[in-house]
Amino acid sequence: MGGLAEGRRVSSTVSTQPPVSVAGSAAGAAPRRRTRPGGPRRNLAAAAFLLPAAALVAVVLLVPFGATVYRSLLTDDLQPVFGGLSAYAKLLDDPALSLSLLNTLLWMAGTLLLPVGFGLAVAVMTNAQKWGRIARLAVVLPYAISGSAVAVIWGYMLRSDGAVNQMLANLGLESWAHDWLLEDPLNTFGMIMANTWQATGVAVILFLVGLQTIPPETVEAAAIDGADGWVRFRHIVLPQLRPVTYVVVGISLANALRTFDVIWVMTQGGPARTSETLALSMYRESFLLQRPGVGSAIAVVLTLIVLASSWLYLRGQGKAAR
Amino acid sequence: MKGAVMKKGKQPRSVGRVARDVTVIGMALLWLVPTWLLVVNALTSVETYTGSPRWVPDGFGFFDNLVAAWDAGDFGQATANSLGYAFVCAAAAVLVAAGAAFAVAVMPVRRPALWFWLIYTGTLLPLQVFVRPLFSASAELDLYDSWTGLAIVYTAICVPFAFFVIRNYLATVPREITEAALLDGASWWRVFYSVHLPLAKPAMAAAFIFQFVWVWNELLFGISLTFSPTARPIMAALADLSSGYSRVPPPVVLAAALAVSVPTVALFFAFQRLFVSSMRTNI
Amino acid sequence: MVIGSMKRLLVGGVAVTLAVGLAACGGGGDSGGGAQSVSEVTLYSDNPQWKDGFEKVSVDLKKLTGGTGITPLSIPSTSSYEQVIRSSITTPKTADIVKWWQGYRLQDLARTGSLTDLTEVWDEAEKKGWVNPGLKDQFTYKGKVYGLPLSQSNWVVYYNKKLFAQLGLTPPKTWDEFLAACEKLKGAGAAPLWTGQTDGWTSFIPFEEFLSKSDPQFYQDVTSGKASYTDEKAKKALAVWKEMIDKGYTSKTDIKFLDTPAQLKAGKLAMIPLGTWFNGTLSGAGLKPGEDYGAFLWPSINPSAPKSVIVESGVFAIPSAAPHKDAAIKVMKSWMDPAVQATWTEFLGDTSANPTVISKDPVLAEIAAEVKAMNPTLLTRYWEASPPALVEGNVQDLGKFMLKPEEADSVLADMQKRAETEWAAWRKAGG
Repeated sequence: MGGLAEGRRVSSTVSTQPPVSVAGSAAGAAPRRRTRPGGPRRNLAAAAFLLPAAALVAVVLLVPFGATVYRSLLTDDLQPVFGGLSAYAKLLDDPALSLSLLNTLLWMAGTLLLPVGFGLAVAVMTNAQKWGRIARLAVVLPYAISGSAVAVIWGYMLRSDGAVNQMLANLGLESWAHDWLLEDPLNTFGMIMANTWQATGVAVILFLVGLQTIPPETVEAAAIDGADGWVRFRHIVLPQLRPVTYVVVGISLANALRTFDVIWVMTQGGPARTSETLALSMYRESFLLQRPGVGSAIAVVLTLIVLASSWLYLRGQGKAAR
Repeated sequence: MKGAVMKKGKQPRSVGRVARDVTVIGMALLWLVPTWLLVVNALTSVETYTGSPRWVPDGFGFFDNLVAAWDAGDFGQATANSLGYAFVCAAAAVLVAAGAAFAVAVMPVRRPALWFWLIYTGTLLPLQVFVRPLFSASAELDLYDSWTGLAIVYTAICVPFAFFVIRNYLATVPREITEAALLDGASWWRVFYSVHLPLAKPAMAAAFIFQFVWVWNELLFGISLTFSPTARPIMAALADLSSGYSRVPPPVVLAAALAVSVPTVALFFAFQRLFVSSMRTNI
Repeated sequence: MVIGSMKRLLVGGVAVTLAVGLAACGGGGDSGGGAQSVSEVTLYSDNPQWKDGFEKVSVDLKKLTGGTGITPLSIPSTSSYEQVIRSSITTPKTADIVKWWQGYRLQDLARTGSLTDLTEVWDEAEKKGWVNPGLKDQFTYKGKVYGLPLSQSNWVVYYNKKLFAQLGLTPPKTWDEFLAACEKLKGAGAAPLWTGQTDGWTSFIPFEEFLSKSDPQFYQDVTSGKASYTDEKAKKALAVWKEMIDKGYTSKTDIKFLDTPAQLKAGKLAMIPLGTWFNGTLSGAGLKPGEDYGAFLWPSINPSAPKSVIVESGVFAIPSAAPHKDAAIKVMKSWMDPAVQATWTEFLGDTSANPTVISKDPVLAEIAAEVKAMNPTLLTRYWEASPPALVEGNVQDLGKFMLKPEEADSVLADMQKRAETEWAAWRKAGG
């Protein structure tokens, strides 16, 4: 109860702050003023807060990843021996992998633009109307549905006798109809849409959480000053949403590069590997072709891409906010 | 003060507002098309299903479909298992992540960026690479095919994302609040418990929902790390229906998928009001 | 308020967990005993829907083995299943019996030394007339047998009987009759022959049939690496296929095979080329065998070519590290027994590999009789007829051909190039 009371007091404190200074940095890279000199007690307390999370992640995720890196240096013989970077060299030889890389980049761009953009739009635009809640629910609900159901439904949408082509025919647009799952690169675009349909809900919720950190007074003051909706959004709301935008973009980036289920169920990466992404290539090499060395090498490359892009984004934005 | 702003009627109905309303309604309708297909085809009876998507329900086969699904898959025990996984792993991950987020965002730890990346990297790794190492490790530790083993894996996978969300939320809390509490003589535990935890409620709730939904819908580890009915999650039971050898027609799979989504949909409804911003002004 | 609801959720969650934990402990009581004589051996498969069948068979097996039955466990995704079996097969965590695939897929596992030699069990069954000797090669690696057949699926063409009757069609006996039927079905507004590729593997079906029905010997040669994919015979097979695509005799290729029963029932599709294991799926979709649908064997494209049928069988194998290996061998000795096979294949809705067991299903019985009368060469399905990595790659190329039939030559060249690489890799690894 005390916590709640204090919490309220705090939020009124927040509202007196100028909005931009609240934003802080994304990746904790910004220098932090030391409130107290270091001491053993403080270190102990910090360790108690940090260790459970760090230990879980390190043991369950980072150590196995280390094993993957090690595996990528071994050969794919029945008795694997050390092969140096030979598995990585094989990646360069395979033309299907460059298409896979291109598709991965398409997924990255599509996932950054669509769920993030739609999510922001829905969160901001449904905030004021009464019926906005219903509209919002329509967009958020697909997130609750399991991946296999999403794939079945979007199979219905995109198949040659599916819903999209039926709708186009009813609108007299037969010539726009396509075999969405069979034509490259339409199959990748179609599956990005399926992913957008499901993933926008995450962005909506995160942006709603972000909107709550914005003191209403700052927006209302601008409204009284006569700033119109777009100006209020652009100059007051958007800057204050910056911290949560890092989260949404960071998560979308990671998810885009790891997308697997939707593609696997809808096209298995086909036809002729044209809709494959690196996550699928890795799976294919490791488990279908029984080449764990090459598969591990793809996993390492994919991870480096995700890590580097996340780092560049989060670090760059951190600087901008300073 | 608020009342003055709440009088929305004073604003003229501008072109911008109409455009906004049309956009919102259009998007909601577009989003509802696949949802509609899901519901209608789950209602379609196996006898009238023709192998192509239906737009209008023909008869009401939903309960027959559910019965067929229940007969074909082992849903009872799997539902109990998954409720356990989702509640426990999501809650544990959110709590553990909140602690770490507090340390990195609020406490003056050394090298916060290093800690941030150490934990955050966990969310960037492609999950398929973990299957083989985690399988071997859990077999070695006698955690293979056990509820506990899978729960540990789920919790660990949930931590990084929850950490990221909560950390960035806590980063928006002005440092002056922490300093004031510390000057009052509060310990770090006290600051965490009575200042930041209540403040981070919406972020923690969002993280909890995401992780609950993720665990509930997770299939890959569920089928790779468990075999027995006592440990298998709900998505494994659902996958039993739609495996490559399935004799169960698509309407039955969809009906089961719809029924299986009830807990996650209910969760969204339960938390809906949590995400309503105090901002009441139109944009 | 919100904290309150979260607390309630948490308390609820903990309660559920405790309940589950207790249930697990309770269940552990009876299975933990272990030390006495083995009454159940574990059997892993990738098909959850076989559970009831295994339980029925277990009753028969217990009578024959003096008390040893099987406990089935399954993983519902084939690729996860393969992965789990491969990582566990050398550890004590493995099953007593594992379901696997015939041909090169079995060899792939056998050459790692992780399977038990079952040659004696096979020979004994063969002596009793319980297994078709023509199948032995598909279960053998370097002269030793490593598995027993789960069933014997013949590859056939399922057809919509009512639609055929309406148009006055009978199952075609010759290739010309087949093409004429396609023309008539197309005129009636149905897609004559289902060909699909979005399931990943199904693109090899027309290829293997058009190839083997033109020249079965060449099919065997090309799949075993002795002949080239760029041979005229392979080009001719793709030309047959291309002609069918051009004439509109094949369906859209984005129909998943699990949607085909409903489409066949609705008359949208006329014919589905699959193995007899699909029989159960068709009846599951509400089609009556012999009434709504029938099946026929593929007619030969080249009338002078020897008769052939593609056969497929799942495999039961015993890991070297199986915890109850002797009991598992005992179970396998009774597996081909007619009593066991009758129960099993009736549940399965497929043909037994034991020729003395006759199916009660009218469609299966007819096909089995036809196969017996024809005495054809039994060919391994394409999926298992070459090293796995070669098949996985070529299936993708065939998917490309389905979309761009005019690129047949370059597709075959790619397939041949892959064949050279993969055969070299297979041999290098000790194949």
